[in-house]
Amino acid sequence: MLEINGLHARVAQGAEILKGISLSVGKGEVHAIMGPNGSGKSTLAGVLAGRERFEVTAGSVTLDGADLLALTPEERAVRGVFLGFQYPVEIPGITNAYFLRTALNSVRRARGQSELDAMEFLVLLKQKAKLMEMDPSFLNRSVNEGFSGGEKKRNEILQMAVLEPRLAILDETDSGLDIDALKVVAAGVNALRSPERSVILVTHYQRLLDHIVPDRIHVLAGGRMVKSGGRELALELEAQGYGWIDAHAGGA
Amino acid sequence: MTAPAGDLLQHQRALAAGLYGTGLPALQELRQQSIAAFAAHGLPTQRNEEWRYANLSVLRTTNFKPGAGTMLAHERERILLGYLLAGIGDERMVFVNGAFAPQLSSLPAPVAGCTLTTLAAAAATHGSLLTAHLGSTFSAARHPLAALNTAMHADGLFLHLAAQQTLATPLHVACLSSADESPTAIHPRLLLVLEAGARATLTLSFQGSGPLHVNAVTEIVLGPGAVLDLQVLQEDSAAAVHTELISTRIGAGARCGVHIAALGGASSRAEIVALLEGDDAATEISGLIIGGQTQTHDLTTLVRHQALRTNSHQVVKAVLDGHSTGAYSGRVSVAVDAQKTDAAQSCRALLLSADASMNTRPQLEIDADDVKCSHGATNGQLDAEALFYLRSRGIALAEARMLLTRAFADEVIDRFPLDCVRTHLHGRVDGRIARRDTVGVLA
Ligand SMILES: Nc1ncnc2c1ncn2[C@@H]1O[C@H](COP(=O)(O)OP(=O)(O)OP(=O)(O)O)[C@@H](O)[C@H]1O
Ligand SMILES: [Mg+2]
Repeated sequence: MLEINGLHARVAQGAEILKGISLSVGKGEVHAIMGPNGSGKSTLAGVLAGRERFEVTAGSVTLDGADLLALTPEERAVRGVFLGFQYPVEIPGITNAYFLRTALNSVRRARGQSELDAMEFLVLLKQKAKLMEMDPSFLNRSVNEGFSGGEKKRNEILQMAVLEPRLAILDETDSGLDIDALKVVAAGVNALRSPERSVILVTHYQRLLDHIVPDRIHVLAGGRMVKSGGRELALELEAQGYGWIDAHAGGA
Repeated sequence: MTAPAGDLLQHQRALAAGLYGTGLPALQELRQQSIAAFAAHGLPTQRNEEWRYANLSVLRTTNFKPGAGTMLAHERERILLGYLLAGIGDERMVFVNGAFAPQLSSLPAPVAGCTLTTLAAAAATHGSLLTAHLGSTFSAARHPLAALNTAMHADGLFLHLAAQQTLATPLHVACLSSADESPTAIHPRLLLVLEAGARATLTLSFQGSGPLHVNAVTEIVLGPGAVLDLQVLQEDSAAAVHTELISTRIGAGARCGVHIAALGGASSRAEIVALLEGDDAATEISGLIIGGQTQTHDLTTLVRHQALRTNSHQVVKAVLDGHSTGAYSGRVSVAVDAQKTDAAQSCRALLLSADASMNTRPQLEIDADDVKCSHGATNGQLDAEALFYLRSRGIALAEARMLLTRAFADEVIDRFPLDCVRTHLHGRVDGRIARRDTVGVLA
């Protein structure tokens, strides 16, 4: 489904952050990306979602064979790419419900489906909010405004649940969640899992991977994928930190 | 005297004898004094600090003839229908080029204690009430264009509510103007007098076509405990110069809300003067400025706190695109014995293009010591992070811009008391953002 090949990226006119990343995520797979602070995980997620502040200087990214990098962020979204933000944005003056309905209808239009009216949408939204154990009052509040850290992350997963993306990239959605919230978020992701959908989880913690079992784990360091492996890699990282990888990779 | 001001004086001389109120010596005298004040001061220039951001140069170079012409019927109807569909104006007074148009108007059934009529009719039936208040709220010398209106207005609206009377339905006052070929000046005039405890809500709209100078004056006199909300929709033609004074005297415990949206015109200047004369008097001022292309909009306010525990709350928001400029000058003066004054003022501008600009000048003159005054001003662009967030959920760039712009404008639109007016303004804002390069509502 997703093919990343030799991807180099930098902040426009700045130093290179991603220094040749290759990654292949198949249909239905869940991949976890771990790595030290500042290694480029959010940059990679941002490049995949179309963040304009990053400039791709080499390499390619395709989604089902189509050039993803040629598309605007909204075109990627309507084709099924979803980014769960590490730092969800507060938008005063737009209610969560209105925002989500506009988003869902944009996606549905692009898929040739009919738009949902306010009532139809509300029914759907309430059902999804219940799944996320979110109080309905959050739906009428401005997007993320005044939400606690954990509430913002839950709201990201609510959006994912409504939009039903084919490729969900969740950037540290587990950070700042209490144990119960973590389970809810994990349940939200697992509910979405299907042979047709893929997930990239960026995380620092192995405990998320107890709830969402990944097919592959990758370690990103210094803008490069320095190691890939199965579930056991997460346990090793948890036990030993990243130091041993740097040594192994020989500063690769 | 520069040539166009000379032209204006000539037009005034030609008109004077035909204007209403010849039977009222006090009104005649007021008109005389007003034209004398205008002749003495002439058109304001940008050298005058209070007019610095108003682009009125076309008034100096163009001979605007008094508007007596007509307006194409289909054009009138289109404008009125637009308001009616929006739910504004079931009860309305329509003025076409300054003249009352009874066939287009729909006045509420007469109620004892409520006089709603034209100034010309009131001159005959309520002469002393009219002359007691007309021109009483501002100084002709300080407001030369308002003085010109006093001298030249052909008619206007007169509302008097006796004590404790309420205007049952919000009234829409529609000023439609049209300059067929030659530049035309129109002087809309409103006089609203509410005695103790009376209440009213009005919507005043301006629309038209062609090269116009629309020079409006609204005077408001509120007795103790009276409550008035005035909503102003300035949607004049793309070629118009719009100048306006809204001058209010607010008695003890009375409250006056003035909510103004500057959308139309090539250049506009609206000045709101609120005199908080009685203890516990309050005013709320809301200003929405929408600019595109090379429009200039100037909103100037002067709030004078002259009594105890008076309250003023001003919120201004500007959305500026293209090469447009906005200005907000907010002066608050607190007299030495106006203790416990509470005055808040905020102005935020959203600049949608690199060539748009906003000038904000708060001026606080505080002579009392026990007061609470705050002001804040910010200019900024659309938040790039918020735009990306919306787009990352599938919302197209243009729509994302519109949503964020609307959310920005909503804070002030929400202060307009009537639901139908808020909906109307939403439509206007969305339309302007969607057609980023068009200005003016008829254009
Ligand atoms: N807009 C920017 N301007 C300058 N440097 C940037 C910018 N964005 C990212 N960087 C730099 O790129 C590097 C990678 O940042 P990124 O956010 O991708 O790290 P991360 O792996 O997500 O880290 P964390 O685990 O702390 O979230 C960092 O050194 C960061 O400072
Ligand atoms: Mg990160």
